[in-house]
Amino acid sequence: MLEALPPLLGGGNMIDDVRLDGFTCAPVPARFEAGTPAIVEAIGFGAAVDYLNSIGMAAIRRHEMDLTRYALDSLNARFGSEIVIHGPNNVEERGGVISFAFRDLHPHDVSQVLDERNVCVRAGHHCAKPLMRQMGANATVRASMYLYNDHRDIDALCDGLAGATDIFGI
Amino acid sequence: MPGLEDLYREIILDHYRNPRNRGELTAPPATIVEGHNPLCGDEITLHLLVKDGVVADVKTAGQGCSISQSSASMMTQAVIGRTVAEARAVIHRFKHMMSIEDHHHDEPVEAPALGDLEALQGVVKFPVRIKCAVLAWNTLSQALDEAGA
Repeated sequence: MLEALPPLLGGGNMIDDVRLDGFTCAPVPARFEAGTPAIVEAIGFGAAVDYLNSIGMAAIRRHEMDLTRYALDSLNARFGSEIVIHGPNNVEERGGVISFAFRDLHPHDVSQVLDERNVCVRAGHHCAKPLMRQMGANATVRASMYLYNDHRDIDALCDGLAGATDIFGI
Repeated sequence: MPGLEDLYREIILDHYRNPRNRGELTAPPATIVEGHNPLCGDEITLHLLVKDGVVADVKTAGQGCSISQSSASMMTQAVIGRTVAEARAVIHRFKHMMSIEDHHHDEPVEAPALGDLEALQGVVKFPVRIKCAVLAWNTLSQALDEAGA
């Protein structure tokens, strides 16, 4: 079937022979891989893998769990019933991503206020509309933490949310 | 760099906390149109009653951010009691303020002043929020079309 499928693009590496009256394609898979390969991307990917390996994926996961624990505890301690955090409270059962609802503020308003304070979150339905509908949520705010973050970032998130309360005053 | 005070003006927050003309109208005679922003999930259900070429009543339901909700609230106040031609002119004037439509010099009627709606001018400085402000207006535009007005 792949042999019968015409190539989407022409270009370097996908050619077998070219004549004035036509051309023949290289064998699969090269016929579908016209143009310069992603050389820079592959080198960059290799560097990223080396970097992560030098730290160790287990250490990264530990850091992520520590941050997530700190975030869950900080958010709950500071905002109590004003915040609804989706997903399990056990950080071993979740990644470093926290989706939440804050008071009755719309996630886009929350993210706008956080943005002003250099805290970057995503707001919306996160390309997961059926799930959002199932959860009864119109949209959520989503904070992600990883290797590059530390406790101060979580504190900034909490401070930013407190600021949202001041602005909307509801 | 624009600050939050450009976006969240007091009058906007007032309409957000106390939206005007929320509710429903009986259809028919009213026309009901739903609008939504697929990117953010904001939804509006607009109920429009046109009588003798005049926007007799508008009610809105739905949920969304402060910008989309306050824009809908102010919009209802701006168009209720206006002729359909005036309402369309206000829609155009508003979208021009949001910098998504050019100004037409051959507008059939003079657009009424935007009044409170001027407060939404700051939204233009936050391009991702323009769609929030315009949702209700696009929905009204569609409702006027569907009402044959």
